[in-house]
Amino acid sequence: MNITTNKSEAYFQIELDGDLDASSCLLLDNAIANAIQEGEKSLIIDCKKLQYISSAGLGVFMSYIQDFEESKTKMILFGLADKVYNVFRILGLDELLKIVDSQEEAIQVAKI
Amino acid sequence: MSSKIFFRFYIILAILSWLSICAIEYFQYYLYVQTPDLLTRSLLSIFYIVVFLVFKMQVGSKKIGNFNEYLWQVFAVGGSTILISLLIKFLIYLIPFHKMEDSILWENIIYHINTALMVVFLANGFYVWKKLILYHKNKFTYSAWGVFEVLVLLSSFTNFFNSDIYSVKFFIATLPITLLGIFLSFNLKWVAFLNYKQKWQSIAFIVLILIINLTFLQQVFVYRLDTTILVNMANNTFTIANFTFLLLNCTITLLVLLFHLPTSSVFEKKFGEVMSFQKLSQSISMGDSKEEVYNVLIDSCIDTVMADAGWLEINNEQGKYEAFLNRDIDEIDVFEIKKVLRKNNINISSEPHYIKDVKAIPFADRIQTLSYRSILIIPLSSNNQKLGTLILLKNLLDGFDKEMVDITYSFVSQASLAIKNFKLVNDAIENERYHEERKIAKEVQKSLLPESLMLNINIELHAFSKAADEVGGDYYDIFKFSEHKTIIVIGDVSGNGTSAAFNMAQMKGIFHSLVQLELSPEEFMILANNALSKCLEKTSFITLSIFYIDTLNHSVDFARAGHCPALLFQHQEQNCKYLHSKGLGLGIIRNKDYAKHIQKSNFVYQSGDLMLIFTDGIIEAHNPTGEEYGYDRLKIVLQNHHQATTKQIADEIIADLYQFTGTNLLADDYSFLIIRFI
Repeated sequence: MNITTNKSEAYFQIELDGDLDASSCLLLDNAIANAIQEGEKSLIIDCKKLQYISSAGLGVFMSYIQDFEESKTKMILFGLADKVYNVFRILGLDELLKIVDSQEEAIQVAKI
Repeated sequence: MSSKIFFRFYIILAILSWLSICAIEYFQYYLYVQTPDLLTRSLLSIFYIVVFLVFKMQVGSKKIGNFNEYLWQVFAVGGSTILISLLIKFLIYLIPFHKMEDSILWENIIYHINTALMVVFLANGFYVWKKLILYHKNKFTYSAWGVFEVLVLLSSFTNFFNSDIYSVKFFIATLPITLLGIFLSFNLKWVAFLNYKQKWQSIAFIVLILIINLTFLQQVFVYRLDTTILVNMANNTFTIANFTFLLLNCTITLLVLLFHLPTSSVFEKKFGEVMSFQKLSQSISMGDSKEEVYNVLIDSCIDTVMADAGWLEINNEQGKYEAFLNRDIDEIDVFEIKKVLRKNNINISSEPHYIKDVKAIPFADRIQTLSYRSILIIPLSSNNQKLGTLILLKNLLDGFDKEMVDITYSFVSQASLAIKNFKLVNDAIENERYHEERKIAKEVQKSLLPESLMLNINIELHAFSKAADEVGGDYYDIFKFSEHKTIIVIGDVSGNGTSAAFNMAQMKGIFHSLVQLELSPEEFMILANNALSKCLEKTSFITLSIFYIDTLNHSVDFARAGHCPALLFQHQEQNCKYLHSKGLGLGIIRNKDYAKHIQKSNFVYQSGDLMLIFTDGIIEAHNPTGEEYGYDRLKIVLQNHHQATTKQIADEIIADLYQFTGTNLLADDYSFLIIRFI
């Protein structure tokens, strides 16, 4: 798993590349935690290259849902492969996380 | 056994031959019986050879660790023989002889006794020296000695030629033996193995042996031209060669010993080093405790390099002290010295250092009162892993030479290996304990799954479960609420391994508490979510599906909390479909909002309908190219085998799954239940 972060004025982008499983989920957790510490209010997660997500990976997203709701931080996922999206959907996370198709959409949501 | 017989035979033969010579003398002198000269000389040769053979056997079979015991043997035999000989002379002196004839006879007898004792002394010395010369022998010395020994024994026959020891003939006969003897006498490897004290003892013994040797030799020369002696027993190459050999040998050994005296302390030290090293190796292979290795290391190092003090610190991975051993130095002083070293940016744990005069380096004000001058610092490491440091101190300025540093290095590297081994063994034990714990967890987990699934005659049920790890997070359970109401639950705890298994245990507790209450499926989920919110870690969640089966009304109420949708095969329509419904996994939202994300669903079944519920391990199982097994393949298998028994269907699913993945070792836990409604 490769995680690259990219900060712009309006949002903070995290790009996921590879499998997000028990061994790599800590990387994502660190990336998100760092962003919060920096005071970011809009996180965009680029999932175009995300091949697979395990329950541990889902656990990372899940653990921030309630915190973000309280701190009014936005987290938008985009570019999910069908297979990956299905995992989110079956677990019911599609209702809790903002999941959009493209980066443009994601940026727009972030700006609102 | 046979050698013992030979030994006795030789002794008897020696005594007999000697007595015969004496008897012949008597006959010749008193009874004027002429005996052939040849007989006496033959008996004499036999006597020589047999005595030598006796000692060859006697000394040859002896095993003595200490060389001085050999020398002691030579001295003891020599001393007793010379004493006996002197004693007899003294006794004879006391008895006055009246008749000339008597005196001559007595003189002859004394002479014979004397010669016999002398031969005993020579034989013993000869074979003892054989042992010493052949110590650490090589092939060449061994064969040279063989030739020498044969020559010496052959020379015993020279007594047939009654030549004077000063004659040229005699000299020529003795020369090769003497030269070979000198050559062999220089094989003095055993001298190197004596320590200082033993060398002095050896010198004393050899001086005494020399004296005995010369005393005997003097007697040979005294009687050399004595006409009253009828058979001159010693006036031949054999005895002279032996005397010469012993004499030369003793002299050379004496000189070598004397020259070796000053260096013996060096040898002793080297020997001590080897012994310490061996002790260290032994303590490693014997599996002594870590502490013993530490002790052996510091003590051997201090002894070998003659350090005045030292300390050894062993650190763990975090750099904290695991052991600290100090010798002849207070901890306070260690602390002060370390402080000085630190101020000088000397890192004692990573690089070796040698400081000739620690008092001369900067910031050394506080250690001026200490007696230590030179410091040797050698870190312990194995495979680049730092293990600790050994520090040796001397009161001397520049007290460590290269050799000392080298030997300390070899000690340290040997000990490092041992310490590293101990760490590996500890890790292995830790690992073993961990596996043991996992085994227990697995046992516990196994007991969490229901043993019997036969709870309702209107349902045919088959379950399959396999954990990827020793313990898994898949959970299913069944509860008979009433005659016609059976509740089935299937769940998957996020993650796997021990923590998943414990969460699964909690889930089982929650299930069995809530299932007793008359709840609807979504109420069950809301309460379960509440309960789990309190006990799951922040990143853990559980997916769960619950089915309330009413076999009276052929109706199933169910709720799906993030779990894989159930697969339903409708017998009448021959239709297979997934039961999708809205539902969020448990533990994701841990407040009242959860109610908004869960719903109850319902379906009515016909007799013969099948329901397959499963965990995502099956769906996500992938083949070597990374393709997932997926929902569609599962659906096809169920469709194709819907007529089979639930057990057979289960076998078909597993077979299809393994065929697809190409292995039966899947990365995730996978479980499924097949329910046929009757």
